[in-house]
Amino acid sequence: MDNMLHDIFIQEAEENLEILENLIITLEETPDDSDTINEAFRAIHSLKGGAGLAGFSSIKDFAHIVEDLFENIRNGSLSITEDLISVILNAMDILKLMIANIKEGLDADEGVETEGTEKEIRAILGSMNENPGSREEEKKEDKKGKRLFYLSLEYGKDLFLTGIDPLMFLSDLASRGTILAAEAFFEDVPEPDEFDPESMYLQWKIFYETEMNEKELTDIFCFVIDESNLAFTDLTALKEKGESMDRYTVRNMGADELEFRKAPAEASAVDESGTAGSADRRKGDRRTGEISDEDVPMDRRQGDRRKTDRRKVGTVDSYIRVPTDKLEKIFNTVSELLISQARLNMLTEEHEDILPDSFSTVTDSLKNITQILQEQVTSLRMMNLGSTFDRFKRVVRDMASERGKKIRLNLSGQDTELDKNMIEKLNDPLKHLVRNCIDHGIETTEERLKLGKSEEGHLELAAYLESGKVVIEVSDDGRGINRQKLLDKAEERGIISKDTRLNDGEILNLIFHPGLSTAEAITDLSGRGVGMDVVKSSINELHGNVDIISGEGTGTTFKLYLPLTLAILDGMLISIGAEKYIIPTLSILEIFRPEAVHLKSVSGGEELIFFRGNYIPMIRLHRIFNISEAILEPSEAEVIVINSGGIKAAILVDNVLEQYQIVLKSLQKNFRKVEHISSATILGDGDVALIVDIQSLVKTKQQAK
Amino acid sequence: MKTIFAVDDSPTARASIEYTLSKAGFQVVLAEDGVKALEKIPSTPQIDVFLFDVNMPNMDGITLIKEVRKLGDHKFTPILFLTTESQESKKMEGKAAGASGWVVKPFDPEQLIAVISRFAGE
Repeated sequence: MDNMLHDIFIQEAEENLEILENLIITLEETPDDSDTINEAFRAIHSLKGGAGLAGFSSIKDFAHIVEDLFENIRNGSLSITEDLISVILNAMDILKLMIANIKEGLDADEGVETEGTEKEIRAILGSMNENPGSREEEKKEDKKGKRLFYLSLEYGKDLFLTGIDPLMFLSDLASRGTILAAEAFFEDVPEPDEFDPESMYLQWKIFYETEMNEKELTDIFCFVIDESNLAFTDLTALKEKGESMDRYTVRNMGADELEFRKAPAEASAVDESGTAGSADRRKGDRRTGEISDEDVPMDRRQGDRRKTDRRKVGTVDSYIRVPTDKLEKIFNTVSELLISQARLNMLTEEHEDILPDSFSTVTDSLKNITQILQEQVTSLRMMNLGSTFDRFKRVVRDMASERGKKIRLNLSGQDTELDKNMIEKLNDPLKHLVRNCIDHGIETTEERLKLGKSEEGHLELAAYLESGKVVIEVSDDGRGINRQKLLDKAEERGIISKDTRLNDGEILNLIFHPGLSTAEAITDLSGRGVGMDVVKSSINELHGNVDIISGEGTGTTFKLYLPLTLAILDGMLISIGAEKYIIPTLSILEIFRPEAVHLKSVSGGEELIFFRGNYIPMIRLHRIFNISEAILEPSEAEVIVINSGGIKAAILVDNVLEQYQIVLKSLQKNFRKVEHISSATILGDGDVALIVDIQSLVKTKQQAK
Repeated sequence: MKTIFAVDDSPTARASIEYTLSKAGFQVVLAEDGVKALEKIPSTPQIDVFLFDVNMPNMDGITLIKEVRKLGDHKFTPILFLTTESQESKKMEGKAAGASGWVVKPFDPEQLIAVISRFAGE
């Protein structure tokens, strides 16, 4: 349980910290927004509470003083300044470290320097002339020995309306001491026509013997003490001194007589007089006055409650947390199911003549169900980009202030959904692109003003769906990519030769070349040599593409095209000779049968094909994969025009067979890396089809150039 | 078996409430905020004690207490709310809204069981 609780707490804490961080950034812009303040308070409050429950006292204590800060912000005694925000952000970082520690199984405060920030916070709190952090511990006076009390219990009229049963108190008293005598008073009970069954009319007088002190006794009644008129008189001293206790009576019996009676018998002295004053509890409650454990249950609701079916109530909440590897397993199983189902369909078609008609009805419905199942399982893995995007608020803020730049971040399309696995893998590439925009794209404030641009640079993260793909844009309104500089550098580093002719898309794509960085000064974050090429390869690993649009002086946009999920790949099944391949639909621009006039050979044996006003290179797939018996004449075959990161090429294939949805099992597991092949799938007929790695194809083509 | 209907937006709190109370022999039904709780209460055949967190999104615990008190079935059902030591004023607010009592948060499991048992009449 502890582990489970820890895991839940860690997850919750991380979410809360993320929420908090964003709220704090929002607060910096709109310091007076009470909704934001309340929400932030609630987040740190839950974090504190959770830490307490999960047993992380150092986190709880630290979160506590942060909560005090927010409490004071909330009640207006502390106003938000830039310094305060910085202190809070520091505190957030500390909490993050602590959470990271416990995630690693370490002590929360291991190696975490909390003292400085804690002092700062205490100083802030202290300057408001009170220290809500410290609380007084009440010392219990520990007097042993039995005490005799005379209790007079007059409850408020509305007692029932707060769900309290006065018998509860009697039962409590009985369990912690001995009720020597008790009497219920009916004096306040009105005539039947004035009787309100929802009001409390009874009072009690009780002789009570207990080891509790007055404070502990009061605690039993703490929930009602304000609305009730309760008196606890400690008769112990009187009794010890032998003084008269005659004025304290219960059932006309003075306290003096108590000694002569036996306590247990007296406990039942309440008998019928203890019956409650509310009508709905009369029934079946005749003996409520008898204070014994089994008679006290509050079955008062049975009177007015319909006899409901008391079947077991599910304990499941509307959400359950499931470890992702469990989902992964379900997903793999579903993909096996899909393959089996496809094979079954093929077999059914093949043997149609010998199978009864009803057979195909069953296989058809199986097909539908499997498809629905697959869609549903896929949707389980979808998450929106909200938290991914939100994280950048802090990143951008920190980076901008470090670089002395003013940057406004705009986010849109946070509710766009993507496979959870992909979202995780997108963090780094996105971070890199954002850093790149801040470091190299957006100019310093002085530069911007000189150029007549707005003082504040703009950075935008946008996500949207476009014809079945998710597009994520990272754009800035900075200086844009300097093509000449890029070309010079590429030449200088021997990446291209002097006479290489490149079109604009190809030039911009040089930015993704390993080791090419055009920044004049290398900063600590971007420009470390590894960078843009890693961005590109990680996007490619996600079966996605990157496009660059850049206007010199007006800014750069990186467009990431991604499939909705990694688990399913939309592809075109093609054939070359006897082989079958799949080309991912994401990269396909167009499929057509070329005419001889559209083809052109250039020196070096390269073949070009005319496509939308331009010549693009043609790749003979049969040559790449060494397939004999392929159709050699393009005008008798088909070409698939693909786009990989702005570079277009036409792939020559024999036939385009059909559109195919491939359910990919764990990617690149059980799979040896083969050149130009990204993965493999089993087709319905049991054949294996290889999935063509378009990016690597285009890359080789580029290098060959 | 007595049923406790607990509402808390914090998953950690929900998990620990569920763990603590079910170990003590209670049936626990959970909801994560006031709005969801109000949806779920009518379809829950038996509720012996309510346990609400005060600070919750969508609908706070105090409002939830008022709403539950409006439901005929639960006019007299005990409602406890979870509050922190620092929220002294909340206790009064909760009482005024119709709560039966409160439990200090973070709670001591034994204390929670004790208080719930009292109200559940166990």
